[in-house]
Amino acid sequence: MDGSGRMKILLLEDDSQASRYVARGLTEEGHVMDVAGNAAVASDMIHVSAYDILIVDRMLPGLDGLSFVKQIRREGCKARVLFLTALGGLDDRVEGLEAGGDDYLQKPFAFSELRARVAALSRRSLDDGAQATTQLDDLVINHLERSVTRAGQTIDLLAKEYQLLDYMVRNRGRIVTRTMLLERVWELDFDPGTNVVESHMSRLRAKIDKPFGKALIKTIRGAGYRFDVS
Amino acid sequence: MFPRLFKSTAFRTAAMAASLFALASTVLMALLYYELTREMLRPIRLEVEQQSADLIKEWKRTGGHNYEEAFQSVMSESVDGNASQRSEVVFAVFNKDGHLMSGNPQIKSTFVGWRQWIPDETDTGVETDQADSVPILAYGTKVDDVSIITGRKLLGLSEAQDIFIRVLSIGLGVICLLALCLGWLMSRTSLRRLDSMVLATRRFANGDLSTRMPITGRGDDIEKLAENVNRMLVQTTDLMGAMKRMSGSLAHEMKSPLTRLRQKLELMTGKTKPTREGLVDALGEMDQVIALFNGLLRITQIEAGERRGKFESVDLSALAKDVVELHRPVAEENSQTIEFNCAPNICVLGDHMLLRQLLSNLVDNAIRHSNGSSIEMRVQTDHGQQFAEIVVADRGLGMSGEEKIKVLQPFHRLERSHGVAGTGLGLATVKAIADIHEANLDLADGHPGLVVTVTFAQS
Repeated sequence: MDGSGRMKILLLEDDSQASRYVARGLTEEGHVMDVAGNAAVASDMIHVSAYDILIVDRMLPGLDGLSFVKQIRREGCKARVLFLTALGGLDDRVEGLEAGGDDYLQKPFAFSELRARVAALSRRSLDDGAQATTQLDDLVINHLERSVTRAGQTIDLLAKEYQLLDYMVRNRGRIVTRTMLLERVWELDFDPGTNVVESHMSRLRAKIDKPFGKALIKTIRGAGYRFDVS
Repeated sequence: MFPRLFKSTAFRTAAMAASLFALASTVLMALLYYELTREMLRPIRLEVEQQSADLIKEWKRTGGHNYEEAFQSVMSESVDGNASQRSEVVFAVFNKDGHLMSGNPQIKSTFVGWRQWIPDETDTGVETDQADSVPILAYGTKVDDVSIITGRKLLGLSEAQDIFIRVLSIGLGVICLLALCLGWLMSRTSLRRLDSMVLATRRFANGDLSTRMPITGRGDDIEKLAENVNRMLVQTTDLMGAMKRMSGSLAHEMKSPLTRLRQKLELMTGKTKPTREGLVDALGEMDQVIALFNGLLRITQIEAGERRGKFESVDLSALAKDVVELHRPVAEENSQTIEFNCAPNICVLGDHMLLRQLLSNLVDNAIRHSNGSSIEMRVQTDHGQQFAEIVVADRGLGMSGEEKIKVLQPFHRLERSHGVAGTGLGLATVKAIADIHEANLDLADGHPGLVVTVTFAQS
């Protein structure tokens, strides 16, 4: 885990075509990819080398993904785990987290979504919470008071707007998707309607970006948003 | 027909009842027979005992000599000289070696006490006017190394017993026959009714969904079964109808984006070079199909009711406030206002996330279908605080009565909303969520607009 966000990733997926596609995509992102077709092979590979991230399909021949992760967690594996699931169950997310997963993604997914989530896992804790304030450009966030100033001016934010900004800042420099925002900021596991995230985002930008000329939050078309650090 | 009859429950029951009844009757009659016989024998025993005592007295008086004459007088005394009764009397005297000194040859050996037996046919008796198979009851005593045995041929008794046994067997036979006939009759009627029910289910299974069990109005248990089966058939028919409509609309809903997707991709394989916009467009169509699938899957999952086991107390007031704040920016971008009135701390038993989705879908729906007018949301209880109510009202075009029913089915979108974005699953999802919470979902006219009310039993 260096500053560039280059990760060593093990993909556990039995559909070889899908895994080739995912592996190629993530390799292009600069990650080092290994692929396993079943839990037994993956288990051996984990014992041989250390991985930063495991991407695990829940439906596997033999030992299923959920049991596999439970097992390696018992054995003390600390790698971050992203579950892929085609089940679409209401409790998939909770089950995944309880088994020791860190995130989950429902199939079929957009590659941009997977990329963003892998990136989020790779440096999950830009632990600003430990510091009292974070300064980025001329934006200052006071985590204790939950207050924000830019270019010396105090900006009044609603509770959700602050949470949204906080999440963007914690993941600065990386793309965050609409779904990630819905899950993490609003804690929703469903899509509440077409423009909800967009509207909230434009309100936030109207407060922190518009009056100051230089935009800190960028829209990445077809992917999501990114808080830019200079 | 016959083997089936024997297999039928009614027949088996009747046969079992018949055999039980026969067994009980047999026991009863055996008891009767035993008691009756004993009662009939009692005066005879007394008589025989008396006679035996008299004989012993005569024996002792004569000192064992010339006893026969003395015996004759005892016999004639004790039986009143009646000829027919006299013939019943038997007696025998055996010496100490066991040889018959005098009396009936049917008494073949010596014994002490009471004994009853039926003499063999080979015992050619002196008195042949009666059948030899008449049983003999006799009493034996020992006096001075000599056995004196006296008794009676049980002529009348054996006749009475014969009659008794004959009556019993005929009676038993009639009882069994009647029970079997009853069983046959019963099973025949019930079999006929079952046959018609079997026929009806077979017709239904073969695809005639209008078939119902015959109801005759008897109101018995078979009829109750038939009524329940009918209820089941109606429900099955409804469900099948819903399935058919659903798969029909699913196919239709999928077809439009898939057709567009296909056309776009086909264009790009031809002379038109693939452009980034074209590809993004195609992905958008694809995403729409996936969203439809996921939405439908979610409804199925909700309806499966797995979440019900995890219900907990949910603060509806706080949840509603969150949801209104979630959608408020969207409404305001459309220059719509959301008027929110909510009593605090109204709690219901339910699933947090699903209730959030219910509220969110209702507000989202109201925003999209209200033609830019304002929206009102209320969370309230009745005075007794037994019910919690969520009311979402818009000032849009509203719906006709028929539309209000149809719109709760998946993929049903009103004609005029085809320009409006959406999967057509919003209200169907609301219905599914309300259903597993046993909440009542009501769509009413707001004059103008639509008023949706969800009523929960309050926890």
